[in-house]
Amino acid sequence: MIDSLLKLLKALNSDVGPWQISFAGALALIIGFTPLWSPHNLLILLFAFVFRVHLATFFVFWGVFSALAWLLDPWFHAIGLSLLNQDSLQGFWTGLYQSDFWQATRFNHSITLGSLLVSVLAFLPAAVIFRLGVVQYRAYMLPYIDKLKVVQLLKGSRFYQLYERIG
Amino acid sequence: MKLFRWSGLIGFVLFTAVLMIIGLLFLDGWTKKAVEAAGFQVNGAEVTVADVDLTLSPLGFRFEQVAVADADDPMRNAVEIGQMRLAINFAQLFLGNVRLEDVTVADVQTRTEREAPARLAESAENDSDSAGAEPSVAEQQVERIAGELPSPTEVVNQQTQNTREAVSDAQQVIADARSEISAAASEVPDEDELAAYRQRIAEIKARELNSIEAIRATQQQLSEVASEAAQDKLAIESLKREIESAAEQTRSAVAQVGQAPAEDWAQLREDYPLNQESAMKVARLLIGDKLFDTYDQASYWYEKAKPWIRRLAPAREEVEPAAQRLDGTFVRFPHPDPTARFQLDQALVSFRADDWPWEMTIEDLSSHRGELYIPTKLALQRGTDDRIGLRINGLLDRIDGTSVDTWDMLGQGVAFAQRSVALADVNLTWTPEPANITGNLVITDGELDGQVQLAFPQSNFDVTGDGLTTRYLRQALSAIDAFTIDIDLAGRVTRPQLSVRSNLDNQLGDALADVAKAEYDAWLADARQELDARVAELRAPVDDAAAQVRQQRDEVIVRINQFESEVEAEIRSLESKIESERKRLEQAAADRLKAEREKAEAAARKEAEEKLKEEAEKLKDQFSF
Repeated sequence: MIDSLLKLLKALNSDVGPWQISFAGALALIIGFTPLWSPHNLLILLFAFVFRVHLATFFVFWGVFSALAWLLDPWFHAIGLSLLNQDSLQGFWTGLYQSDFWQATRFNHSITLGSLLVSVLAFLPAAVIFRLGVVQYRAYMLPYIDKLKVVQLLKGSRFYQLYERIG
Repeated sequence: MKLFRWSGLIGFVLFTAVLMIIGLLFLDGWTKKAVEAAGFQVNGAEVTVADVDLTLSPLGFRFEQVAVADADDPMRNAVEIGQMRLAINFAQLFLGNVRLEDVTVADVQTRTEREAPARLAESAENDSDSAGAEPSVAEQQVERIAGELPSPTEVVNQQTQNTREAVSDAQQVIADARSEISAAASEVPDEDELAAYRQRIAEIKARELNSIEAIRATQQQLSEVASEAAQDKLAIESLKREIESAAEQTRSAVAQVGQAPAEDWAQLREDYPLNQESAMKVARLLIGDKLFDTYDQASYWYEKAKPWIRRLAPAREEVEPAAQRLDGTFVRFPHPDPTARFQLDQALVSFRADDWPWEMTIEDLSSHRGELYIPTKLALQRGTDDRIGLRINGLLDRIDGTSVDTWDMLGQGVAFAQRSVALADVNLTWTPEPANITGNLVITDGELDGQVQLAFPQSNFDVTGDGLTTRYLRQALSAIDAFTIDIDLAGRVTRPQLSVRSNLDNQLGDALADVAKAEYDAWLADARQELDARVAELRAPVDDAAAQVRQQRDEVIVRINQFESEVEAEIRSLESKIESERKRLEQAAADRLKAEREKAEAAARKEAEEKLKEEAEKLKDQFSF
C-alpha cells in the first residue's frame, strides 16, 4: 500500500497522463462503493487491467472509497430499497428477475443497486474532477511544493534517492 | 498514448485461467470430502464416495459408488448407489441457492454388505436416543402384536404377571406363617414338661385318701397342678388362635394364587382379542408379508427423510421487515419458477428389484412455499413404459403449513406367488392369477386415509385336511374364481391401522370366519394349556409350602391335644375322684354322727324316763303320807 501511495505521488509529480490517473480513481470509486463480491466488480477489475489507467492510483482509491462506503452504506441501502420498491419500476425489476443472469448480478440487493447507481452516475463527473485536480495540482501546487525547504530536504535525502531508484 | 494495456489483459486472463484450473483440479476432491462429511453428519454413519467428477455438459457432478452406511447395522449399507449424476445451476449456487436441475441415480441397491464396519457419529446416536426417534419397547410391542398373534409360550411368558405377583405374595405370607407357627410350637409344653405333669399326677394318685385332711392336702396339691395346667392351657388357646390365623392367611394367599391365573387369562383375552390383530394375520397370510414389509420400509425412509424435508422450509428472508445496516436487503419479485433455497427440478432413480426394472421420478422438490409453490410430484414405476407392472404417483403438497401427500396406485398383472396357509388343521394352497391393484392414499400431516384394492381375476384354491372345517372351506372355495381384497388405511404413518375387507367374505361367508375362529380358539387352547402349565409350575412351591404349614399346624395341634388328653383329663379325673372320695368320707362321717346322735338321744331319753320314773316314785311316796 505504501508502495502504491508512493507511486501515486510519483505519478502526480511526473508526466503521467491526467486521464490515466482520473479514470483509475473513477473505476476505484465503483469497486470501492459497491459490495466487493458482486459480479460487476470482475468487469471493473478487467477494465482497470486492460485500459491504461494508473494501477497504483486505482488500488489506493479502492481502499479510500471502501472506507467511505462504510459510512455511506445506509444511504445506498435507502436509495436501492426505494428504487426496488418503486411501483412504476416493478415491471422492470420483475422482468430482470426472470433471468438467472440478472439475478446473479444481485441487482435486487438494496446496497448493491444503490451503491452501483451512485457510483456509475458519479463515474464521469468524478473522472473529470480528478483530471482537473491533477492538472491544477501540477500547474499551481507542484512548483510551490517543490520550492518548500522540507521538500528540498527530502529530495536530498537517501530515502528519496532510494525511492527514485526503485521507482 | 495507447489506450489498451495488452499485458494487463493477458495477466488478467492468465490469472483467471489459473484460478479455474486449480478449481477444476481440486474441486472434485473438495466436493467428495464435502459430500462425505455432510452425509456423515446427516446419516449418523459413514458415507463414502468412490469418485467425483465435475462434468461440463450438463454442468454438474458425477458420483460413483456412493455407499450410505446403516447407522443401526454398521456392517451393512442402507443404500448403495452405483452412479449418480447431478446437473447444478451454478448461477443459483452463486446466489446461495441449491438448485439441482436434474438428478439421475442408477444401480441402486439396499442392504448391501460392507467390507469394513462403518464409522458412526456418536452425537447422532445420542440425539436419536434423546429425541425418541426409535420406537419405545411398548411401541415395538404394539407393532409386533399388530403383526401377528405371537406363540402361546411367548404370550404366557408375558401374561402371567398376576400369577407371579400372587405367588410371590403367597410365598411371603407362608414364610411368615411358618415362622409364626414355629414360634407358637416352641411355646406348647414339650415332652419333659408333660413327663413332669405325669409324675406329679402319679404322685397325687398314689396318695391315700382316708381322711378329710388327706383329701384336703391332695386337693391342695392337685389345685396347684391344675393352676399351672390352666395357665398352660390359656397360653395354648392363644397359640391356637395364632396358628389358626397363620393357617387362614396361608389359605387366603393360596386362594389368591388360585384366582390370579383367571385374571391373567382374562387379561390375555383382552390383549389378544379376535379382531384387528387376527384380521391382520389373515391379511398377511393371504397377501404375503412382502407388501407389508415394503410398506414398513417405505415408512422407515419417509420418517428418515421427514426432518430433512422439513428443513427445506424457507428461512423467511423474503419478508424481512427492516433493513440492517451494511447487510442490505434482497427484494424478491414474482417468478413463474421461484428461486428457493433448495430446488430439485427433476430426478430419476432406477434400480432392479424382484427381477423387475424399477424407476422413481421426482419433480419440483422445492423449499419454496410462496404463492407460486408447486407441489412435488413423485412416481414409482415397476416395469418399462410398454409393460408397466405397477405405477404409484404421489403428490406432496406443503402449502399453508399443512402437509398433504396424495398417492395413487395402479398395477396391472401384478403376480402373487402361490401361498400355502395352515389354519386350524387345514392346509390351504392359494394359486392366484396376476392381480390388478388400485389404490388411493392421502396423508394429511401424518394421518393416513386411503384404500387399496387388490382384484384377483382368477384364483385356484386347494384345501387339504380333515374335519368339518376342511369340508366347509373346500365347498366355499370351490365356487370362487374372482374376488377383491380392500384394505382401508387409517391412523398415523408410523402406526397404520389396516382394515381388511374382501368380497371373498361374501363367498366364503362364515366358513373363513369359522376357520379364523377355530385358529384363534386353537391358539387360545394352546395358550390356556401353556398358562395352566406355567401356573402349576409357579404355584408348586406355594402348594408345597402351604402343605408344610398345614403339617406343622397339625403337629402342634397333636401336641396340644396330647397335653389336653394327658394332663387336663387326668386332672379332671383326679378332681372327680377326690371329690367323690371326699363325699364318701363326709357321708360316712355324717352317718356316724347321726348314729351317735340317735344313740345319745336314746340314752338321754332313757335317762330322762328313768329320772321321771324316779321322780314319780318320789312324788308317789309323798302323796302316800
